[in-house]
Formats: sequence, C-alpha cells, structure tokens
Amino acid sequence: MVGGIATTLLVATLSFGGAIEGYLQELAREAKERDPNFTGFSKERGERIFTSLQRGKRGKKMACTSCHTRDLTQWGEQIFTGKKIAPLAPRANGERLQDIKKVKKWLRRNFKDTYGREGTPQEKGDVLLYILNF
Amino acid sequence: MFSSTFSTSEKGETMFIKRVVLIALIIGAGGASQDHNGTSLYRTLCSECHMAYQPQLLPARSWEKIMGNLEDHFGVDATVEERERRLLTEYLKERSGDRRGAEELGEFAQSVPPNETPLRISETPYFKKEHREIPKRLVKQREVKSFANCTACHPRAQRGEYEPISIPNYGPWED
Repeated sequence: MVGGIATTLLVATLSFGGAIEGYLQELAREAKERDPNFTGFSKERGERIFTSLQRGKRGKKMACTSCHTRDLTQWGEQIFTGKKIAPLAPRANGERLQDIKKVKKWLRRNFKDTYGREGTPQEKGDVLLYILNF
Repeated sequence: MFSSTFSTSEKGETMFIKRVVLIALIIGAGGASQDHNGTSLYRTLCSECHMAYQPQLLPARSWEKIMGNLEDHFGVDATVEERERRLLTEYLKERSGDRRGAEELGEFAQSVPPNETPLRISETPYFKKEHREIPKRLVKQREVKSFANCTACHPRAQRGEYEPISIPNYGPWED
C-alpha cells in the first residue's frame, strides 16, 4: 500500500503530463505486481538498457543506440534498412511519445530485435524515463 | 486503380478521386470505405519502415506468406495487431499482381513460376530482368543499401511510377 503510494507519487512528481504519464503509471503498477520491492523507474537504469550492447540480430550485436545513436536529439538510421529515424527525445521532436499505441508497438518490436525478448514493465518504464529526460 | 489513388499530384485527378470515393460512399458500397481503410492502414503501418510497395508487385500467395511471419520480417520484428494483420493481408491479396485484370505492375507477379512463392519483389524474374545491368556496387552503396529501397533510384516509385530513374553517384539511367 505504502509502496503503491510511493510509486504514484514518484511518477506524478515527474509530471510529463498527457498520455505518456498514464502509460508510466500503468507500467509502474505492473512492475510493482511483479516485484513488491519496486520503488520507481530510474533513468540511469534506462540509459544502461538503452546503450549496452545486446545479442541483436543476424549475428550482429546491437544496442538501441545502433540505430537511434547516443544523441537522442539527432536523427538516427535503421542499420539494416537505412530508414531514417526521427529524434526520440521529446524536446527535439514534439511528436514523440504522444501516441501510446505507437510507443507500445515500438517498445515491443525493438526489445525483441535488440534483446531477443520483450522488455519487462520496469525495463520499459526505465527506458521511457531515460528518453523523456534526455 | 491502385496507382491512381496514390497519385494526387494533379489537382484534377485528386478531385476526380474524391468524386469517385464520394459517389461510392453515397451508393453505400462498404467496399469503398474498406478500400480507404486498407490503403491508409497499409501506408501508415508499413511505410514506417519502407516504401508501401504496390501490391501488384507480388502474387497473392507471396503476400499471404509474408504477412504470416511478421515476427521475422526480413530479420526485423514487424508485428502488428492481429486485426490489422488480417486487414492488411486481405488488402494486399485483393490487389496482388496475379489476379485477372491486374494493372501494368502485374508483370512482376505474373513472371513468377506457379510453383514458387518469392518473399522479395527482387526475386521475381521480371524484376531481375529489369535490373540485370545495374552494377552491384551501385545497389550496395550507402545511399541505396539494397533493392528494397526503390525510391533511392525511382523517386516517384511510391506513386507507382518507376521513371525517371536516377542512381545516386551515377546519375540518370536510360533504359
């Protein structure tokens, strides 16, 4: 119960507003269900998830940064297809993280491509927090 | 039909399309709004990563196979909602190039032997024939990357127009 309040407060004080805040709350609830010791998302953990090299695809190790680059205010490029990727950071690209359906879709796909599995609710929240604060 | 719904370059044509859509809607043809949904869904979801290749470029069985394995879509997870996947599959199959009366781009699908189900447009005999003179290095180069990237050399490809042709670091290509 106390944890629940803490989680709510934590996300609330981040006050990103709009749909993404609602989605973060949802992820926080799920994270808490899976791990009672969950106390909130961390952008530092998010950064590690985002920048560390993982198993990737086609025998090629990958990180999220392989396509998105380390500077999320800049354009990236899909390393397999060459597709240009608009900046992820909301401060550089106002359209980012507005459409939750899109957010969920790309978190699902990109975790699978990079980590070979879906992300946990905590991992997704950590990454989102990292992107939101970039 | 397919290529004309995609070309909104000329005002007259756009007006014409609008009128046709309007009439179809008035007649109450559910097919017309379905058509619109299919096109916009295809453009929205698939163009996030690549050109929305004209469905005529492959036979129906190829689309069926491609859409049946979006978990590994040429090495990338391209999954969509099941409802969307079904809609898109129908949309692509209905407009595929092996059905009777397929428009000019149907040559690609129709060049495929009946016992083959290519997953890539670039595997169709007609595509290979049309691109046989292009040096590999011009395809592999950074600005193009692969044959999947039609618009790199065919700037009007998304409208269904494959001319004029201009290859990066080479220039105009005359057929």
